[in-house]
Formats: sequence, C-alpha cells, structure tokens
Amino acid sequence: MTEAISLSDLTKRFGEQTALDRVSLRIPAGTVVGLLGPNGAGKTTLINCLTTLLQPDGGTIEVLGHDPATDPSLVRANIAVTGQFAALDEQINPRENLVFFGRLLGLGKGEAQQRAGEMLERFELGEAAYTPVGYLSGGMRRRLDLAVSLVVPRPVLVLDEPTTGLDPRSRKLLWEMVRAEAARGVAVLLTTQYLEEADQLADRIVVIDKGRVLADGSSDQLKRDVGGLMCRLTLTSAADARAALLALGELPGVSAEGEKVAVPMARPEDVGGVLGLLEGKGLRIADIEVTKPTLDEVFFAFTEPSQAPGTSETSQAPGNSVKGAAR
Amino acid sequence: MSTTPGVAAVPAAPAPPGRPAGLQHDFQVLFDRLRTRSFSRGGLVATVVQPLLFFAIFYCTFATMLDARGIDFGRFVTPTVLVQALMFVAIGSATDLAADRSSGVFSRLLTSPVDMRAMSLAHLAVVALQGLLSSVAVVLAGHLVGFRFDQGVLAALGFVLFAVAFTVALSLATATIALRLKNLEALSAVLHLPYLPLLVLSTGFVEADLFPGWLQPIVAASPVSGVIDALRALSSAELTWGAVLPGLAWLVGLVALFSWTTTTAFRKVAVR
Repeated sequence: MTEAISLSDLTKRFGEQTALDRVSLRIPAGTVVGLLGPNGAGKTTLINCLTTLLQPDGGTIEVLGHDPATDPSLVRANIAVTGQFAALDEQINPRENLVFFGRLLGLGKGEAQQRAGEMLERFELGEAAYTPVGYLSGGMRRRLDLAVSLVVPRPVLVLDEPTTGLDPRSRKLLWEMVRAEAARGVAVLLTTQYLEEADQLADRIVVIDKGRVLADGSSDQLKRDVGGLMCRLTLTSAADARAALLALGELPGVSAEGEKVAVPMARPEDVGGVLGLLEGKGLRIADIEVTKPTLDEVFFAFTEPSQAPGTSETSQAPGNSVKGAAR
Repeated sequence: MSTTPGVAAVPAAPAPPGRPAGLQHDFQVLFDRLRTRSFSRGGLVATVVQPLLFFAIFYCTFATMLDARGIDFGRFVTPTVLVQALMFVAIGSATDLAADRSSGVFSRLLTSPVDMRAMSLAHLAVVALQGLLSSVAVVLAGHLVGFRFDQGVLAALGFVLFAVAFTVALSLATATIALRLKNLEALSAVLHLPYLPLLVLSTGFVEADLFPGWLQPIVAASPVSGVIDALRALSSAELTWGAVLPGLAWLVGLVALFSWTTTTAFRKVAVR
C-alpha cells in the first residue's frame, strides 16, 4: 500500500547552509514516528517542507500519494499540523476558533458547532469555552491548539514539539490523544526535545543532525545499536571512582563522574571481569546496576559521539537501522 | 499498523474532507471571522467611535476660526475627518494581519486547504466594510454640523464608493508593510509615521495657497489632497470632472501599485 508519508532524498538549502541533506523517511498509517535531533538539526525545516510551507531544493515528498509541489491543496487537506507555538486567533474564544477552523476544513455551520462542543469536552476546555484565547493559560492554549488541529480528523498528523512548556497533566492528555489518533490509523510525525516522550510514544525513532538522518529504528533497536549494555558502578568516594577509572582504563568508553563509573559492555557476563579488576585494586563497590543505555545516551551517541559516555567504536554494532552513526 | 487512514474514525467525527472546499466557501468562512472581529467592541471603537471623537475635537478647535474666514466647517472638514478615519481603518487592518502572522494563524491557514485568493479577498472585503461603516458614521455626524450632498443620490453614492475604494488602496499599502516587516512589534510605529505628515501636508484643514511657498507644490501634489478635494467636489454644488479627476487618478494608481506590492509580499510569505 501507499505509505502515508514518504520522503526520498529531501534536500533544502538556505544559501550556503544545507538544512536537509538527502533525508529519506517513510511513515505508514497508524505509526508514530519520533523525530529527534538537537536544535538546528533540521527538524522544523523538514516539517515545513512536508506541510507545504517551504519548497525543497531536491528530492521528493509524497503524502498519501500527493506531491506538495504539484498538489499542495490536496496535501494540506490531508495533514493536520500543530506547530511549536499555539496558532490561534487570540481575539476570539476557543469555541469560535474551533468553529472557524472546522468550517474552513469543510464542516457545515451546525456540524462545526457540534464538533467544537465535542472537542472542548474531549480536551477539558469546557470551562474556558467563552474566554478569549488571549486570557488562557499556556497549557490550555496548547490543548486548544491540538484540538483545532484535530477538529476535522485527517489521515496524517504532524506535531512539532507539541509538549514544550506543558504541565504534566496536559502532557499526559496530549500523549493519550496521540495514541488514540495512531490507533485510529493516523500516521503521526512528532518532533520533540524530550527523549522520554519519544520513548513513550514513538513506534520508530529517527535521529537527525545537521540535516542528515543518523539512525532510524525502534527505541529498543537504537539502544542495542548504540552499545549493548551499560554497567553503572557507584564507589564509596570520588577518589575511588578515579582509581577505578584508571584500573578499567583499557576498556573502551569508560567514564567517571563523582562517585560513579559507567562501563559499556557487550554481554551481561562481562560484569565478572570488571568486578575482578576492581577487586584486584582493593576498591569497594557500594552499588552496581546493569542496564540498557537510556535514550539520552542513544541521542548523544548519535549526535555527539565524542561525548557519549557509553559509546565507542568497538561497542557499536551497527545493524541495518544505523546509517553512518560514527562520523 | 496497516489500518486504512481516516476510515476507523471516532464515531461522532465527521468524514475527512480529502479535498479543498473552493474559493467561495473559503471566502465566506474567512470573511465571517474578520467581520466578527470588526464588529466587536474594539473594532467598532476604531471604525466609529474614534473618528467621531476626532470630529468633535476638530469642531471645537477649528469651527470658529474657519467661520471667521468664511469657510463652512461642516462642508470643508467632513471629508478630512473621513480620510483620517479611513487611514485608521487601513492601519487597524494591517495590525490585525500582523497579529495573525505573529500568532501563527497565518501559518495554520497556509497549511490548510484554503484558497489563497480567498485570504486576500476576505481581508479586503472586511476593509471595505469597515470603510463603509466609517463613512456612514462620519457623514451622519457631518450632517449635524452642516455637511450636505448637493448633487443628490448618485453623487452621494459616488462619494461613499470613492471613500471605500480609498480605504482599500490604503489597506493594500499597509498590508504590504505588515507582510514585509520582520519585526512586527515595530509595525505600529512604522504605520503611524507617515499618517500625520500626509494628513497635515494636504488641503484637509488649510487651502493649498495658504501654505508657505515652498510647501505649496508638495501639498498640491499630495494624494491625500487629491482624494479630499474629490470628496469635497462630490458633495458640493459645483461638481466637475476636473475636480474629481486628480483624486481618481491617484486612486487607480495606488490600487494598481499596492495590489502588485501586496501580491508579491504575500507570495513571499506563503511560498518560500
């Protein structure tokens, strides 16, 4: 079947600077893809190209088989967008905003009124229905913004950092909405600064930096690719931790911070060797933990390989999901 | 994972549109939102209350002085007050446009299946409506202080039409600025800057030959003088083509010029 979103070799330049460098990405219906990358990685540029706000310099975009270059209005009719900042008419109230955008998307007046009521309830905005948007709290605005994007359901939903600055309750509500949309078969593309959010919501995570795709896979896949396991040791003092770092110096990617030492390892049984080395130096261990790397570590491993605590050339086992992570 | 998009909708949800609704539909919806705004309390203060307030102030300041020179205040100043009101309408419409740009509503419209022509047409239609509202308010107030239409209904209609067209011309100019300006916080200052010189350096309050010699060519050539003189002619007993023509020429020229600049500015914002 046709993918809901399909980008091939998408390229966008601003003068000398290449914001997107041959980015390819496919999102089937019912899938949530999280786009991760540091500030300036090209996330918003990608979204602006996809949503017809920017014209790419190369490559192709297809949204349900429609090309934004030749059929922009068909693409627009099928994509719901929520940008980084709430895009609402501040001079009118939430209900009027919902009715306005509902009608604009083809609902009749009565239909739009009814739908507005439903959305206000669904997004817990009933009490503020008649308060001008200018007076609403940040959380309420973001909820209303998403409600406006969903007032007429469309097969593709694009969310650019939707929970930045949201309180935990609003964030949870928003996450539930995104899951419900995906369950209905909506293809969701979501950019976020919060790795936990990507971990929670995304079926697939795409890491981009400097306009290039560095990795594309499920959260588990990426964690495996980055470094297998991470052994975290807590020693009794910072001096001991430094001594441990020296003792383990031959192992790749070892790092120490305060009383803690992190040792990347390929297999759980490697822990024995580490403990043996420390025992030989008479170092006492207060706590030990062997875990998969966190998504934070995955993120750093791909975007700033030199600073990633748990990464090294040898511990990386790039599967087919990793594209040139080591630069 | 392989559900067909859009069909397994929440029960109460209407079907996805799939395709755009058309120019007329989009125009109507966009027009309704802007009209609601312009008929709100804030909107009416700008289009009706503010011009009437200025009218009252001008009456208190200038009426006796003009009377002493044998000039009928109502006939002479009503078109000036109207032109000033229309300038405020144009400034206000640009401020609204800038608000839509900075709030993100503009981007949301650009990512919605909206006919872009409907966006411009709805903006101008509401501007025209506000111009009409201001014209009616100022003409009625003018009637209280001696303003009259001497040439009957047709000339009166021409007067109002001329005023509305001038509002549209000015709004095209201010819209260009609202679309071009990067720092939208500076918009108000930028728009108010030319307003006072344009109004004062015209035949609005003083006839051209009473200005200092070096200023007289500027005043005579001013588009605002042309428009005010045309409005005066359309309401007076001595209506001649010669008196209306310079204003009309300005109007046509301004609409042509600023239609082009607005369209270019709009394209630049919409398609990058």
